Amino acid sequence: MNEGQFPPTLNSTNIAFIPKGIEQKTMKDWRPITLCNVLYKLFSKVLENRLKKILHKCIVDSQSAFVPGRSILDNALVAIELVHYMKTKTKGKEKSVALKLDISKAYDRID
Amino acid sequence: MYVETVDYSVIMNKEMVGPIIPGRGLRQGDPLSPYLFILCVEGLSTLIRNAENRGDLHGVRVCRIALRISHLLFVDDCFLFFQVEESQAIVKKQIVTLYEEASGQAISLPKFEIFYSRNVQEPQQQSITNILGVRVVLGTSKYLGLPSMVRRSKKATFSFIKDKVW
Repeated sequence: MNEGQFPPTLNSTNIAFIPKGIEQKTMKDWRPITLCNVLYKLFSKVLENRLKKILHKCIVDSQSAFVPGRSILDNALVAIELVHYMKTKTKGKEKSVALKLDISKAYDRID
Repeated sequence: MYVETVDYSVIMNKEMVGPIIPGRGLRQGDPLSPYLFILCVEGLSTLIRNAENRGDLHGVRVCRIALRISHLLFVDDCFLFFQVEESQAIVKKQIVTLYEEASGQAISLPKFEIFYSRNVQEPQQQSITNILGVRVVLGTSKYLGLPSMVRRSKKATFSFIKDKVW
């Protein structure tokens, strides 16, 4: 580690399953949580703190997650306001449409 | 390093199983995962903004002097806005499939929800829906845990919050 190398053994993790909901029948009812070792967490925390300072410059305004100084409510408010506008618009040339997507498998996924 | 040299062991019934080498995805529980994820989603945002700059896509604005808003992102919850035109729908579809292929994140088709402003006629709605291959849902959806459509009766719309509290 003194030579600036990250030993690959530090990068192995354990996954524990946390139950979701009342009954657990399929694998979907479990949430996998990765248990990283302490040293790994320390390193990534250092990187995270460095990244945080410049994040607002890299991420566009329409993304409000995890960026310091931006709130989840900013997005929710704008979304509600836009949908309300679209709902009340009964005439005019500008016809608009809203599309809501859900990116699944955002985190852990093993094929 | 964070994505490629990872291997997992699974704790199952208090025994370790593994190691498993993942092909893609970030791990939940790693402090850096959220940041890596939003940097990836930035790709989707850039694709949309590029199309906007080219003039292929136009966002929605609430009045003449307001900002045009073409997308809202909160981690994996996206809201996309555009004008009702077949060309724009095709561009949008291309962007989404391109992003899906590039990132390996599946964008779940049955969860697509679409909403038209009231001045869009039925046949036009149908053609856009066919291009995108989605189902039409009117106002049952929630964005970020809040109902995205507030009806006249506020009591009915927000009563679920009260139910959760008590």
